[in-house]
Amino acid sequence: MADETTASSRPKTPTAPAGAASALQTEHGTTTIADLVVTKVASIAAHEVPGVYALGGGAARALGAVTQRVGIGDERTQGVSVEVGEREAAVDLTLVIEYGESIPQVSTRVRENVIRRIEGICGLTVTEVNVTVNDLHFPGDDVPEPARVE
Amino acid sequence: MVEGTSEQAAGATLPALAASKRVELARLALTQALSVDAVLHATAGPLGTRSTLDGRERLGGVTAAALSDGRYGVTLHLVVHVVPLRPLAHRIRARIERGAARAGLENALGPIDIVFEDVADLPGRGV
Repeated sequence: MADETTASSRPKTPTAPAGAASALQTEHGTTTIADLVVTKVASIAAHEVPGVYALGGGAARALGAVTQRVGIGDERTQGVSVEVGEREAAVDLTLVIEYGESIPQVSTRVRENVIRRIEGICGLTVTEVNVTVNDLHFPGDDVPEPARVE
Repeated sequence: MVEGTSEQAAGATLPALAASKRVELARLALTQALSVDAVLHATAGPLGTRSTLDGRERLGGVTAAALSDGRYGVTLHLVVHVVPLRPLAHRIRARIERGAARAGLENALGPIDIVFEDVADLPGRGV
């Protein structure tokens, strides 16, 4: 299935050097927000939008299902990639959207919610949210096929 | 003399030494940070290196290091609920500074660095 990628019109790439974490220096000390925190906040924000079925590509979700089963994976880091600077962050999301939803509208809502949550919770300015829709979810996808024999 | 030496070696009769100022500050910072709402726990990292040894006890998720001005800088590695993080950092610092003042350690307390290592959902908020 062809991907649809949409990008926000904000300036690209955080101005601060990319590293493992973002920092805010004050005279009383430094506050650092790890990339994992921004990743999870972005994931939670994306899941909050109606029409989003899952995050991550097919391979990532399959691998994630296995790693979660053995207790080493976390669904909330799937399909999210972040680049975090001292004051800014850029986010790449891979989504699976419910069939029938407007992909542009869902993408826009996801982008807005991710920006709102990261700016509110992490205090970082979000420079861009790139959304890749790589699959659609159909209502019957989760229903297991009936057994052919009793 | 010989007996005394063997007792000292065993550590059986020696009174416990008071914790150093560095360890006192680490313990205070950890205790105060964990008492703040939305702070779940501190994390020592996968290798357990982000910790401070207090005798045989390990204070995980906090380190304290001497600064050139005689104070000790404290670093906390925390896992917290999903709440606004910068205000939370301010609340944690204020709590630690108040605790240090009560303990008479305010002059030894240097900058408090806070690293938010991970977040966990608020109860009832599914993803």
